[in-house]
Amino acid sequence: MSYCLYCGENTTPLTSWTSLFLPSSPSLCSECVASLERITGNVCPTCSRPQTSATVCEDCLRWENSSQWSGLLEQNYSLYMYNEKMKDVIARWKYRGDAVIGYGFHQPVVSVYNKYFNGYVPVPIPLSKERAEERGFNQSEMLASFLQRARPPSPSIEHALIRSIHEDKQSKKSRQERIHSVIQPFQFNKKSSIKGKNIVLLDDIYTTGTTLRKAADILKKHGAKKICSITLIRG
Amino acid sequence: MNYCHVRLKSDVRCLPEALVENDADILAGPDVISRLPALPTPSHVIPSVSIPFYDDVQATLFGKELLYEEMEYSWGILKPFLETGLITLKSGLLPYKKGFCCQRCHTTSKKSFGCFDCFRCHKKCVYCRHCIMMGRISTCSVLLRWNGPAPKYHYNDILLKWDGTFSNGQQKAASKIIETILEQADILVWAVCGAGKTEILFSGLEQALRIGQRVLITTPRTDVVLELLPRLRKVLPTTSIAGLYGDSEEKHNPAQLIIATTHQTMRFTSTFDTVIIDEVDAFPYTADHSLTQAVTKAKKQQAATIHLTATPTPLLKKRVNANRLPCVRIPQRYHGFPLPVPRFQWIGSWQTRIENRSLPASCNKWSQEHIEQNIPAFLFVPSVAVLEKVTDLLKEQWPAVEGVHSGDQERLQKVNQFRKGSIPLLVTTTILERGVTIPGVDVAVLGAESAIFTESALVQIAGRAGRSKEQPGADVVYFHFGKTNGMVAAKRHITTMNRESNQKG
Ligand SMILES: [Zn+2]
Ligand SMILES: [Zn+2]
Ligand SMILES: [Zn+2]
Ligand SMILES: [Zn+2]
Repeated sequence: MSYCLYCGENTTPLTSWTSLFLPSSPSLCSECVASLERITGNVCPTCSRPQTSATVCEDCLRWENSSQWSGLLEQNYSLYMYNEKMKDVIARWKYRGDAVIGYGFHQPVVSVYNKYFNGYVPVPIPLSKERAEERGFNQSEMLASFLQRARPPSPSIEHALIRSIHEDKQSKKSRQERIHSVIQPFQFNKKSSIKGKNIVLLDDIYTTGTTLRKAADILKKHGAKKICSITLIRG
Repeated sequence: MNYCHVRLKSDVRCLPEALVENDADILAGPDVISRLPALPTPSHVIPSVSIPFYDDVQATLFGKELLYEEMEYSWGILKPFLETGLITLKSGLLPYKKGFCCQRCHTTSKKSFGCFDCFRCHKKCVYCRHCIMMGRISTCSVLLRWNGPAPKYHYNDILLKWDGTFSNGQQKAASKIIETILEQADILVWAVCGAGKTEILFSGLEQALRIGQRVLITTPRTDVVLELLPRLRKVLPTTSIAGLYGDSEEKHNPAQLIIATTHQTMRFTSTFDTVIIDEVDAFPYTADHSLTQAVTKAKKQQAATIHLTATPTPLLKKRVNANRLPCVRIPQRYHGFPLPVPRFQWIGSWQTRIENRSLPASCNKWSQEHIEQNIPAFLFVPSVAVLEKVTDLLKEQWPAVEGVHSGDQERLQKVNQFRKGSIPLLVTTTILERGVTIPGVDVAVLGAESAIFTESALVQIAGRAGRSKEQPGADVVYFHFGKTNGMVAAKRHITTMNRESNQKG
């Protein structure tokens, strides 16, 4: 018998193949899966924002009209809406530190990668050292590790980014402040090699897209070819 | 962070690596805390010199075991405490048989542990998911434990401000409780819903607090903590009282009387002289063996334990029958009127009807009568899914109807609105089966045959009705699709109590 990672109810795993590499094939129960909202229908092709038509949204147009930011992030693919259930799940995963909850997203993330970004090099968005110490794990790193452990595996994860500046508590700033804050929190990790490679960034949430574009900026400057991202949630 | 065993003069202490001054003193480590052998706890330490922040650290830590992450003090400040043995360190998780044992919640069940790549110890780290809501505890976490003197309370001026009167049954139970506290024994107080079981604690509490005891009242539900807290503050105005539940701000208040959810109880260790377990049978206490252990861990070796409930578990009843647990029964409500006896109403396949978006006729009629006549009404349902559908169907007819369940963020507001009368009928899951008192309320259960409605749940639900002296009679109805043993047993339970009450009265 196996138990739902989130609510602890008994569950029959939806996919049995996960058991090939995860000892207890942890997953979410069908009720929990059903209360998470997958993004479907028309979305902005650049940032995955759900909308009435499948055209590039205004925010993305603004990014692309700016000489500083244009062309950095080719495409973001988000899997889920940020509904109440997802807020609870994220709170327990990220903030309470219940790391194994992340395994519930293993299979969906791998299939998105295989379908849209096959062969891209996974690069997780890092945490600062202080934040990593505090949390004990990095949710983006965990998402990236799924790709590498998939069958067939993705190319090796490149830890191409270092976060030297302690993240601000994002919520305290207004949206405008966040977008226009010019501080570059990332540095390039000289030990990694990304030259001429297609990159897929991994993060838990796409809110304004600023963090991902700042990361992409560094990678572009160090020779990355195409840069896309998979984010679990479109905030 | 890694830890070491270090020789300091004649003592061996466990210190974080960063605090070790002289490598030559190291006896073991540095290593992840769970890999170091456990050190014996030193005998109680009395500080000989004054240490900065002594009072604050003592207030935070006394009687508890807390994670370093829960402390507001850095290792630098804690250093003199560790070196003198005033604070000792232990591993958060320890190997146990082929798995682990969480040192906070005492869980050993395999499914309660998760594993992740830990940035702190740079290893595969195992953590306890069972008590994750109190902060992650893993094989590289340390628990801090106070090993110094207890903080002093002013308990000479304990004052009980209560001048109510007791029924015979209450009087008898109150005296038994005092005896139990003084003898540090165990007792089961089996009091029907509405017997006034909080009041019977008052004189016992006063006695215990006056002789300087530390007292814990533990209950499975936050709602009950919130209801008890103001009542006890009112009757014991000079006692330091803290309420501990999920979001409470009083986590580090070293009060003499603590009212805590069973989960919060896990933080305490051998500190209470008297433990009162309110609603002993209620979820999650019996559902959860580790909480039993939390209570055992929280009380001193010599302590009084008072089990307080309307519906004792089979295990408690067995202990009573074998004469291993003294029991005092209060079969009568404080106002002397009998418990409302539930009636059964067959409604056929109500689930099919709900799927087809209509309520069973008799259940709808019951709702209508109550709303039109302004009689507050609880409608209990077996699950959140049913709750949502039923609430929708009622709202279509009467928009003011609301539903509540355990995950509902507005639960407390809704209960308050119901109390005030702005919500005429409240649909609820079993979350409100106990603790909440609304004068003049009638109660119905939809789908009373569902497995979740056990004998004790149905007795508790029926016990919501007829609690006030002004309106002691009430309608309690179980709408069902096939009578169950649980329903029959609940009805028998209630009629037996009424008969016993008649004989005594
Ligand atoms: Zn679930
Ligand atoms: Zn867009
Ligand atoms: Zn635990
Ligand atoms: Zn660790």
